[in-house]
Amino acid sequence: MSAVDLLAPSSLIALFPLAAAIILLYLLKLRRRDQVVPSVFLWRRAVQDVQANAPFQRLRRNLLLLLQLLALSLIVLGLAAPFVMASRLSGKSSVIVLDASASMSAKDAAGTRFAQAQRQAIEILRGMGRRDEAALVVCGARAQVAVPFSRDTSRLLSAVRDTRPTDCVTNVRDGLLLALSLASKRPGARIYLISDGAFPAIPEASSSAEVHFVKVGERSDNVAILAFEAARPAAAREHQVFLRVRSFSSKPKRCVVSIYDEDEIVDAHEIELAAHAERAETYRIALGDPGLLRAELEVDDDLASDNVAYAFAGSGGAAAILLVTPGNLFLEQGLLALPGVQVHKTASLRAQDAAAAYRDYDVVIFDRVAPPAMPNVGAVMVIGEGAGRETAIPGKELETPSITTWQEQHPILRHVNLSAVQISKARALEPAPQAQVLARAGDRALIVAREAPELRVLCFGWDFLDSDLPLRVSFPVLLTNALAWLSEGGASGAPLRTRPGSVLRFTAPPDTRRADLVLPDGGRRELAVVDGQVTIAECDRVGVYRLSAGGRKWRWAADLRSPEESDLTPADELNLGGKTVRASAGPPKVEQRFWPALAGLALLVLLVEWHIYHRRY
Amino acid sequence: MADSVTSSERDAYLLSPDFLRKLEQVAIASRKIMVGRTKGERRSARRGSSVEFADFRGYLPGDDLRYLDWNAFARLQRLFLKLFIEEEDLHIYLLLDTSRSMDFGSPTKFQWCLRAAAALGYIALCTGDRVQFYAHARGRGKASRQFRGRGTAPEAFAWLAALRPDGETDLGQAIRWLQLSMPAPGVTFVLSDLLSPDWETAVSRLGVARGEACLVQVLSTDEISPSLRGDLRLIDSEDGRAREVTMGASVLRRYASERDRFVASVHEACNRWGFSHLLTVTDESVEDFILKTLRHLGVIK
Repeated sequence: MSAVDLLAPSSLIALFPLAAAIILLYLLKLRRRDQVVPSVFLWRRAVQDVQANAPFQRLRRNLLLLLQLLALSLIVLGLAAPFVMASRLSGKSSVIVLDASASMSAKDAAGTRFAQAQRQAIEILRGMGRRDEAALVVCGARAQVAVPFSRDTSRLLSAVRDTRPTDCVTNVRDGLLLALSLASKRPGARIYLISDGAFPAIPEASSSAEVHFVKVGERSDNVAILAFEAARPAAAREHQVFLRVRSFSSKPKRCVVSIYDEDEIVDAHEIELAAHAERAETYRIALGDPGLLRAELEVDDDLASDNVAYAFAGSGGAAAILLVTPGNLFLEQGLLALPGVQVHKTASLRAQDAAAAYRDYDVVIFDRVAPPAMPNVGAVMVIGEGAGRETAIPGKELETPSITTWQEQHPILRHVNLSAVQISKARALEPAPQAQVLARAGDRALIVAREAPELRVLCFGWDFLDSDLPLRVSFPVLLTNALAWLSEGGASGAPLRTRPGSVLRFTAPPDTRRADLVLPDGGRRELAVVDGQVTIAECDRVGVYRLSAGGRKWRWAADLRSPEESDLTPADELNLGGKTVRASAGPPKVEQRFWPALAGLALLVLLVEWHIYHRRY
Repeated sequence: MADSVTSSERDAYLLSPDFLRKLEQVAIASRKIMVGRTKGERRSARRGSSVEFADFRGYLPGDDLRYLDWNAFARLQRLFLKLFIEEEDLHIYLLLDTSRSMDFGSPTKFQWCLRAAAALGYIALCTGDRVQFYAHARGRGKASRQFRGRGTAPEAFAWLAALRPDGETDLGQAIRWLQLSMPAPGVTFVLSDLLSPDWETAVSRLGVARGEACLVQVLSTDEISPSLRGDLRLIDSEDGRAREVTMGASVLRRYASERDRFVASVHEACNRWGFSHLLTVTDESVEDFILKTLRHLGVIK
């Protein structure tokens, strides 16, 4: 609240002569008139109790004078037209866009930037008049309208207070566009963007609505991990760990990098960073059977969420596939085209190597090679052969079968059209009772899948080369779906690394209704399984998430790795639709006069004075 | 007679001839029978020579033989003496409060009291009673001679006309003085505003006085409902003491309740001592007061 100022301070001078006049009148009035009465005998007793509290009488008399002077002061003050620059909503309709991105968790402002932004939003909302309306847009991972246009200040205030900051990369662009579209229906609406401005220019944001940029944050004192990968090159004993650290601070920074395998520290280095410097480090670390690797920066900076990064060792996060085939160009090319897949090819697999292969590779594909033994744990795809007694054994030969029915809803066959696939010859599969038939030619099974805890098996009843499937559009889709499904069923539940704010989808075991999500802070969420899938949208903080559904377990980690968010330098202006919007440190102020309140108060004081006077007489 | 009184007096409080004529029709009632001094028209406690029979008593040597009841002697062979009621005159005392506090109101309480005293005195003179006026203020008491007979009325009026209000009220002292100097028991009228802290002493002394008493309390309209407003310094007309009062509704309310309590306690005290108390306001004409109020109450018959 800024200080009170006066529009007409010269009016105050009138106070002195008027007050003097009142006091003079008062003194004149106090001269008692002499009145001779026959006897004061009766008066004496009538006046006795009044005189008994003579000090009170005097006080009451003075009270009248004081009240008169107070009323006069109020009137004169009202004439001087006092005003304050208050952060009232100057538009009838306002949209408040609250940045809840990772950089808003920086601690350079009082509390955090986000807490400061909340205070600014609350200050704006408190200035709402009774006829003003406001909407609240929160920009986390996704921009969303937290409160549509409303006159209910308490609802808006509680929505602002309930908003939590996220570790997501800013989506101010969407939020601003959302606010602009909201404001476009309200002529003269204003948009208050409360942010640190750590986001790129938004050229398409052009509208008639007036945009105010309320800046929070003061400095940039931050060190961030921008890259962290770990991989073991083929035939190497040690893992190579790659780490990129950048300082966004104008001061030199000294920090300790610690690398953990699960929760066990495996390496620690001290590194020094000059102002605004970047360093890339590569370490060789002997890791036996690494799980989730975590890199942590121990440094005194403003933003903590970018001081941690996660990596899954092994094949650099990619799925390792062993392809056992006498040679299949279509399949090899199809697999190589998939992102994040490392394919190892072999012509045959000996029975004694099979167990190690099932353990080391995420998926083992047997193309026209009968698997020597079926594993209990792992993921296996068999093409043109039987897949063991537990899944399906090859049966009768089929000439030019055409696929008549298939399960479109199954994750493997989603978006796959098998209706026109030409197959010259196939072997019908005889599925085991626990296996699931995905596609049939008439009443013969051609694709069979089996799902067990930590085991997934997919079996095709024909050789792909005996069909035109590899030439069809559906083939890469089928391959992607199949590998995704198979790798989900891996032993460790296929660890993932995501960014905060990503929406993740997992396929739950059949007949599972609920899934249990454990958040990085230890909080638990129970999620519903819809159509066999669990959708996770709660992943907006940095850390390790765990999901379990029907005995299956998944684990993934989210880290920031965003130079835009880690650069905490607050923007002084924004480029919105070609226009430059300058930042203001607080909500825009408007002149708020309050002489009517003073006049009302003066009237009230006069009424009180009148009442006291009439109680006396 | 009445005309001559009227012409010889010029003061405003004079009684009009018409009023005097009306006064000749009435007499002051006395409930008690008292001993008078000379022959009059009042029944006396004494046995005497009127025509009205009172009692018998046994004959004692030396009694007047004219009053022996011979008829009784003829029947009973014993001598009885017939006793007759004696008719004597009655003493009327009129005590006027002449303190300065009486000089207020319109007409002033003092004027009103003079006229009332004159009227009462005239009634008594017309019925052959003895009338004596007392005027009293602190330190200055005056008593008139005893008037008797209608012919003394002009002199009595002149005595009254010479009175002036002055000094402080000391009614207790006045009644004591009256008690000591009254030659015989009679009917005492006290005319005063009674606005004095020692009014209770006065009432009690009046209560133990010989004969009958009647206290006429006269207040002015301003004393009944004062029309004072604003910040005032009230000055007592008698002793000059001042009292600061800011007149307001509440003060006036308190005054009214104080006044009512005062009048009620005076009335109650008079009743306790067994004599009449009459409150009158100077608004009421003396004529109405004498001929209606007093007659209604049985003080005048």
